[in-house]
Amino acid sequence: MAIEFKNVNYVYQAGTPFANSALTNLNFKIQPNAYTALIGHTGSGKSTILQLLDGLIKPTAGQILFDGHVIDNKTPQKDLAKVRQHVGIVFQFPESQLFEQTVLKDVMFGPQNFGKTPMEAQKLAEKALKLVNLPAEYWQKSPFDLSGGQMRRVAIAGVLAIEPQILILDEPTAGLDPVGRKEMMTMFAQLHAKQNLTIILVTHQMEDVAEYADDVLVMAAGKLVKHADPQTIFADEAWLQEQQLDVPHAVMFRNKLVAQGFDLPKNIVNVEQLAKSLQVKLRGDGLNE
Amino acid sequence: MDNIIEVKNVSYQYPNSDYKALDNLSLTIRKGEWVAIIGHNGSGKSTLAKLLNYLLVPDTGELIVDKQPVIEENMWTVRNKVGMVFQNPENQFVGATVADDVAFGLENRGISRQKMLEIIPMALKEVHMEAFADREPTYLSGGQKQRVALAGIIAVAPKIIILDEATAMLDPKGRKEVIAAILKLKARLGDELTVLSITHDIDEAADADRIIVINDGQVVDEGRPAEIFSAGPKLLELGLDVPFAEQLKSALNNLGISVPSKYLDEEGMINWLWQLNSKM
Ligand SMILES: Nc1ncnc2c1ncn2[C@@H]1O[C@H](COP(=O)(O)OP(=O)(O)OP(=O)(O)O)[C@@H](O)[C@H]1O
Ligand SMILES: Nc1ncnc2c1ncn2[C@@H]1O[C@H](COP(=O)(O)OP(=O)(O)OP(=O)(O)O)[C@@H](O)[C@H]1O
Ligand SMILES: [Mg+2]
Ligand SMILES: [Mg+2]
Repeated sequence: MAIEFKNVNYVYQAGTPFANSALTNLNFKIQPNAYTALIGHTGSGKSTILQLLDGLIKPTAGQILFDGHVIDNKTPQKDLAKVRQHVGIVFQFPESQLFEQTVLKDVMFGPQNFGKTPMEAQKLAEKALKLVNLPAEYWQKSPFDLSGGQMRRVAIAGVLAIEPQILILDEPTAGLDPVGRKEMMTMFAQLHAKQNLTIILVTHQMEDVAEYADDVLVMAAGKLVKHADPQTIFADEAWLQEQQLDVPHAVMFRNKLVAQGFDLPKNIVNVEQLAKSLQVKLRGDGLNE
Repeated sequence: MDNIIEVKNVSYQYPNSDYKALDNLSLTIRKGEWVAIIGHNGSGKSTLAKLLNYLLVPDTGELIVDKQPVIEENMWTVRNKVGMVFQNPENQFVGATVADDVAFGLENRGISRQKMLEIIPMALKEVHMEAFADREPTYLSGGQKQRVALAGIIAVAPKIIILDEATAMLDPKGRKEVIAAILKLKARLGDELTVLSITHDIDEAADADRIIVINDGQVVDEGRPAEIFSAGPKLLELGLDVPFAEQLKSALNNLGISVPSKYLDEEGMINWLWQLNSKM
């Protein structure tokens, strides 16, 4: 599904003394099946964009085009619901997404809500819980009787169970341990590749941006300040730092080595690439080869 | 140096659970230490934090905080000494505005109105949230919520700060700023401040004096960061990322380049590479 933002503004509590403009004049296009990373400082407007994408809020001004369907300030709720059926969103705080008595029921809720029978819903739920690697011993527990990382897995399963075409992820790996983080990111990448999912990922982990995204939107104070591929984004460390962001560790390390006097290519974004370029430099030096 | 926290043979099983979240766990924290607690998801880290604050009561064993047993009659004195930032800051907000929320902890500790009016803006400034003083905490972005929760702790400056993944939702610069703010507090208070930081973040763990590793409700290892980090790829099983220099070492090793077996930090790694390069 292609998505386009046209002159989108969003004001929280519009028309009240507390009105707070969160997004100003956003214009961008997301191609079908793209894996887009949305990055930017705290409070820059990322979660607000995601809520617009999920039809939870409507633009104060401007339009969002979903495969040609127009969403603007006047769009009735029932039309938003139609869009939402294809969009799955994993919220920043997993607890805000959990509410049922058991983990299994919680994950079944989405598919049932979109018209699946209890049996179908249970099948989808079990499949999703396996995808997120939550052992069956937890399925009958209350989702609130879990550790932070375990809750995160349930929240992700709940979204996968509705089999969305667009998967929206708001810092989906915050609170997961590194093994869990890797598992989830690999799983999302596989879904993206095999089922042609469109993914929009909000993250502060620049490694993940480098590894998985093919397109990057950079937000600052409610405005889109850059839209490019990861290599272009990470080519300018100083600019990223001005945005309160950073380059992936491999880029930082490469830059330090270059400052030390090494001559290394510019397009390094991960540790394997860095090791390969170093190998070329260090080859023929009588090491064990 | 005195021990500020002693946990002796503590076990805890949640009422509706069929296994122990903490299983005969013992540890001591010295006064003034900065300790990182690491462990994979579900290993028992948050449970330990809640026991230290008397939010949970152990089934067996004993906890002592600043020489006082953590029992019902000491509950409030203990909570006054321990400032905790939870994994999800939304569970923590009580005030109608950001400033009220920061004030709450001060009021509880009987700080005068006048003093509060000095402290609150200072604390909000430390986390760059001064412009948000009159906003409702629920109407903030995720990272802003975490900053406000941290401001509440900085304002109170308790004897012990427990951070339960308190920076997980901050942007890279924000993380550094928040840690810097706590380090600044530490510099001011010296040994009067002890920090326990529960984290999966390698850089945060690297800042600690000591790392304690928890697995399945038990302490399985402890040591200075450099000692713990020398575990290399095994760190992943312990719930921590592998430091970048170690990742690079493994990647070079995989390409057939022999690398030193001892732990190298980034600077050490750069020096080693540079020497190797110069020999050519
Ligand atoms: N419900 C709300 N009511 C009023 N203002 C809000 C609300 N939610 C967010 N805001 C404000 O809108 C701006 C953008 O917030 P948003 O949640 O989109 O940021 P973000 O980029 O997701 O940040 P973070 O990385 O901290 O999660 C912020 O200044 C925030 O304070
Ligand atoms: N309220 C509860 N009721 C029952 N079991 C619980 C409850 N809270 C946590 N548990 C279980 O106790 C164990 C330890 O949980 P704890 O929250 O201490 O883990 P943690 O180390 O903080 O993990 P994470 O890194 O995911 O936050 C887990 O297996 C979890 O499922
Ligand atoms: Mg957000
Ligand atoms: Mg926890």
